Formats: sequence, structure tokens, C-alpha cells
Amino acid sequence: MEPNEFFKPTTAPREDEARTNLRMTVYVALFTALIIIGGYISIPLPIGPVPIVLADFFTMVTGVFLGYRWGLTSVALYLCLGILGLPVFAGGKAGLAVLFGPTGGFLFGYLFLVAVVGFIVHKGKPSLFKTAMALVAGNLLLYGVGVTWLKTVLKIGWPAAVAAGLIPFIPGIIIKIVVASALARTLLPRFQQGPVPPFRQ
Amino acid sequence: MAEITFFQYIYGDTILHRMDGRLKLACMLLLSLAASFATALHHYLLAFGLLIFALRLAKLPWTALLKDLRFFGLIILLVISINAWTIPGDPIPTLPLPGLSRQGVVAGLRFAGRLAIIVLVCAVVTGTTPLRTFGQVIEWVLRPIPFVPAARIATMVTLTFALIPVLLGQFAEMMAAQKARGIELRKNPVRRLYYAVFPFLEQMLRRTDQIVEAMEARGYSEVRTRAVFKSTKRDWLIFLLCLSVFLYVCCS
Repeated sequence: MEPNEFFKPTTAPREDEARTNLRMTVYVALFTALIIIGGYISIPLPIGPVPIVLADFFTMVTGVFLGYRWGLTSVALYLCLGILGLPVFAGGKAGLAVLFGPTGGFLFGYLFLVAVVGFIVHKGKPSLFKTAMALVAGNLLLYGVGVTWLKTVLKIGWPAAVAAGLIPFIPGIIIKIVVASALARTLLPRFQQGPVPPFRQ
Repeated sequence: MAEITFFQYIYGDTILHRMDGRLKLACMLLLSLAASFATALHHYLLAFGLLIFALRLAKLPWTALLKDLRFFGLIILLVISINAWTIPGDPIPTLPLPGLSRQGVVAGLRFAGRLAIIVLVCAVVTGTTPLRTFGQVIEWVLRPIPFVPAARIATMVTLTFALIPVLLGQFAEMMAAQKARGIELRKNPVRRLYYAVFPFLEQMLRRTDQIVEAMEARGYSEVRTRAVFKSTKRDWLIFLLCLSVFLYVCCS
């Protein structure tokens, strides 16, 4: 046995791979923190149990920047922290009961949103139109899941579910999609360039 | 909100500070679940009693915590009043305000109680547990699950908690800088959101790259020494207390 073999870590990945992984690890933490903060900037509405939140805006941004794999990790981490009992969901709520309550569909919908947006934006050549379409598709899925869930849990009809879970948000959704697309156009190229190369001797 | 002391560890040497992190997190999980199942008044009183006892036990600074709770107080007030005026029901005879219903007030108070319990549980746990322990416990939980990079997820959780106050501080700083330059008054909501988020994200992306570099410079690696946990009888007693509260609230 060579002397060095004993000290060699068994599962250490290659240096470049480890570097990318570390960078993405920190970015996942950053975007999870952003989604949590977005949940605090929430305005409850008088007509239903779904408040207007910025968490979905930051979820869109997460999908745009991180792609579907790391984006899904980020949203899953957010949901896990909520399940653990930390007040991270909209307006300081937490726990499994929220996840399976009336607004739970929107929380699960974040997973679909981030996956769809991340997948489409990071496939092929980047363009503003494609980003906007990806965001529209992601939001359709998010609200599809959310409204269906709301209808099933509260046992109300489609018109009532749509009135409580979709119609009040339409102006907000449009604003969020426009801003997220603009951010993708200006910031995404800089983000994808990667960090400054490491100092090597 | 940037100076929030609430999700931050406050140094101390009490029973709760010394408690095994795994059991402490299990208690947090149980109590927040109990909060969502609580319906009757005595459930809330029980939970609040336990939490006040825990706060005294942990010797956390009352005044600073209450100051931070103002933010949640605002949300709670808003929720109570929205519930009170939108849920239909009978009017309260002693408080004849138009539109106000008894059922609405009760629903609002119930919701507010739940929120307050969750926030207090979180305050006690985060106040007595260093971030490192959080990460270590999560690694311990995930370790036996195959194909899950436990060390990486633990790092993510620790970093998320560390980043929240940094983000809030950065956001407040950026808003102040914009205000100082007289560009805070935008009527167009698209521009308003864009001008709030763009510089903020730009700054944060740059900052994150700095964090990555700092971690590399300090030789960060996912292959590292595992934490060793020790639990005493007293820790188990506290856990059993929380478990019995949880079972009582769920079953009665």
C-alpha cells in the first residue's frame, strides 16, 4: 500500500466539479433565502385565503438563474424548512398543515413552476421571447395546480376557486413576468459567465 | 427588519442551550405541528405556558424579542381584522361595529394564536441553537438516506440562515441609497419592482461569488469530520414534555 493512499479521501470529486458544486450550493442557499424573504413581503387579500406574495416572483427568478436541477433543490429546501417548523411560508406560517391546507397547492406548484422555467430557459439559445413564454407556462402550471387544490380542499365550485385563487393575481402575475424576463435579459449572461477564475500558483 | 435578533443565536449556558440539537429540532417539529392542530382555548394556553417557561429557561432577552415581534404583530392585526370583517356570522352585542362578526373574530384570533406559537417556537429554538448545530443535525438526519448529499444540504441550510440577515441588510441599504438619490417615487409598478430587484440581485450575485471564494480559500470540503451528539436524561424529559403536549392537542 502506498503511504498516500491511506489519507486519500474516498469520495472527493474532481477539483473543477467540486468548484462548480460549491458555487451552486451557495447560490441555492441564496435563492432559498430570497424565496423566504419574498414570503414575508406578502399582502393578505380580503376576498380569499390566498395572499399576494413575492415568493412566487423569486421562485421564477430561481428557475431562470439556476436551471431546473438546482432550482428544484432550492424550492425543495424551502418546503423542507417550512415542514421543519420554521416560519418561512407566506406571512410567517409553517408546518405540514399549511402544506396540506387550502394554499398548499401553490407551495407544491412552486416545484412545477421552477422546473418548467428552469428547463425551458436553459435549453437551447437564450432569447427574451423564450424566457417570457417559459414564465407564462410555469405560471399556468402553478395556478393550475393551486386553484385545483383550493377547489378540492375547500370543496367549492370552479367559479369560486378561480375568483379566490386566480383573478386577483392576474395584474401581479403580468408585472412579475415582465420584470423577471427583464432581469433574465440583463443579469443572466453575467451570471452564466461564471465567477472570476481561481488564483493558481 | 435588518436588525432582527430573532433568527439569531444568542450565547448562553442554560439547559436549552446545552440540549441535544436533534431532540431540540424534534421538539420544534412537534410544537409547530401542535400549533396547526390547536382548536380549543386551553390548547393555546398550554402551548403559550410551555413557551413562556422555555423563554424563561433559556434566559433570552425579552425586550429585544418583543421589539422584533412588532413586525409579526402587524401581520396578526391585519389577519384578525380581515377575518373579522369578511367571515359572515352573528354580530357581537357589546361591540356593534358594522360588518363585524363573532365567528370572524374567533377565526382571526385562532389564526393569530397559531402564528404567534410558531414564531415563538422558532425564536426559542434559533435563539438557543448555533447555526452549525442546525446543519449538523440535518446532516445526521439525511446521512442514512442513500443518494442524498447530506453534507451539501447541511451547508445549504446553514448558509440560507446566515444569508437572511445579510439580504435584509443589503435591501435596506439599497433602498436608503435610492431614496438619497431621489428615485424612490415610481408610479409604474413594473419599473418599481425592476428598480428594487435589479440592483439588489446584482449586489447579491457579486456577494455570493465572494462567499464562494472565501469558502474555497478556507479549504471548504464536503468530506469532513462528522458531528458527535450526546443526549442526557434531561433532554429526553424536555422532549417527552413536548411530545405529550403534541399528543394532548392532537387527541383532544
